[in-house]
Amino acid sequence: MSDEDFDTARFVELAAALNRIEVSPDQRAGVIMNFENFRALIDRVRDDEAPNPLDPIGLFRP
Amino acid sequence: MTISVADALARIEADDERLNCFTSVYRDEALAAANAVERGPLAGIPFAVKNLYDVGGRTTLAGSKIYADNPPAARDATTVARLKAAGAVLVGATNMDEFAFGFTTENPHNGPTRNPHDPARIAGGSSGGSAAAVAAGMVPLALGSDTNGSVRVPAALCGVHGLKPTYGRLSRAGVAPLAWSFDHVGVFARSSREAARAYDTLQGPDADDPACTDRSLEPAEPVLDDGISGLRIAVAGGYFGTGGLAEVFAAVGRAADALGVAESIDIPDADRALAASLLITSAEGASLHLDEIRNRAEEFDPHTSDRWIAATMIPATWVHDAQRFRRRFRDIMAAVFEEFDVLITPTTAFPAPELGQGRITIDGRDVPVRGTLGRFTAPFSFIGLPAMSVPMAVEPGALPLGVQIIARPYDEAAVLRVAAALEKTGATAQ
Repeated sequence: MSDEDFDTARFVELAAALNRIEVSPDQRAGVIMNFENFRALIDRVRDDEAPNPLDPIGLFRP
Repeated sequence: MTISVADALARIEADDERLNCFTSVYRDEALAAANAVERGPLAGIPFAVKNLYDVGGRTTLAGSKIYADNPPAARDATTVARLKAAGAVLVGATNMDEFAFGFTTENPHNGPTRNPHDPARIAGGSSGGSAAAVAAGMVPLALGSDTNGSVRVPAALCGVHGLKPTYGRLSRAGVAPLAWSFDHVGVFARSSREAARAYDTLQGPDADDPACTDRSLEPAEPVLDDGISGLRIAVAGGYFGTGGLAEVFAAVGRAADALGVAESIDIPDADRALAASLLITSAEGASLHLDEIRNRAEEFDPHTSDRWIAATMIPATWVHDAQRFRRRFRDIMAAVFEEFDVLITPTTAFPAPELGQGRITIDGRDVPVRGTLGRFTAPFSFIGLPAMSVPMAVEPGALPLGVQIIARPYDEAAVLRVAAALEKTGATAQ
């Protein structure tokens, strides 16, 4: 499946229902835009370097 | 720290209607407390706190309308109690971005905090009320919180010192959270010495904050005048030398010249650190506020309500990938700190924008103000490094600019030593 096949509007609709959140018609476009922004963030984060699967990522400390 | 509690209250009364730093002023309690103070390292010093700190007997609002229904806090936040125990006197609570989710302190419920250097401009955020109150001389000391830059950004835009210690160094017990793995308590002050004294007072373990370190106290004020001899200092280049207006990089250049710093180092993957930081912060915040997003979304700040809703939908795989990168960025920075002890960067990409300004042009590109204010701060809070914004001297009438000083975990003393040395050169705003 390519990125172009992903229907953000449909995903937002389903995710809102899953989270029991009502998205009003005047919020819909803003929520979709913000979700696309988050999607752009993870595209910037991801790389090809394999992470260490033993890393306790939930136990962050400096 | 010479201002009295009575002077502080008089200045608040005179200037706060114009600047809107405070959401509550505890006049009677402050005057009574001032009369009762006997001794302590901060005896009689008036201070303010961002209104996400618990103050016993008062409802903690965190900049929201939603929390107005909450019962009053049973007791003071640990850090508030520690400042009071040192003799400091709480005079009020300050304005902020709702739930600390922003960088401008244009609060829809309380109105915007205005920058004391130009009231048509923002104070920065999310701890803008605290920064502006110190900048306006209403209080010499204030507490804020910093998740992605919410102490350092307003400190830079308002021209004061803003210290964000290492993640876990200071207790967050009684401080309303935004993102549990990023939230830090921070200090605003008019000098590195005043910041160091307050920071030293705030240190110490606290069983009420699971992230608070049990390290022994490491006071910074006693080493403040040690100078920078023995410290390997570099200007961060690459990412930290781009994406801002020329004047912020010129300010870093002046700081480097004043300190005799000739070295520079590129920090790889800082852009990824910024992106991962914003992603995880949003996911953690949405998890914390899910009930309110479900049931009271219409009462949120309209600037952020759509973002909150979208943040509830971030897939777990994205968060875990960002967390794995977080670990890798720690390793990257650990390698940097093998070579250098202290780094210098701009704090923000530009000086204070106008109230309501949505976009700014940088290098010919139109970029969002809100989305760019954390560019240089978020990569370091992402992995909990201690950092401080120090106000640089600028031409008369020019807006304040800050430089950011960063060190390895738990080396706040190095940050403060460099800040103090910079002040002594005369390169900072006095």
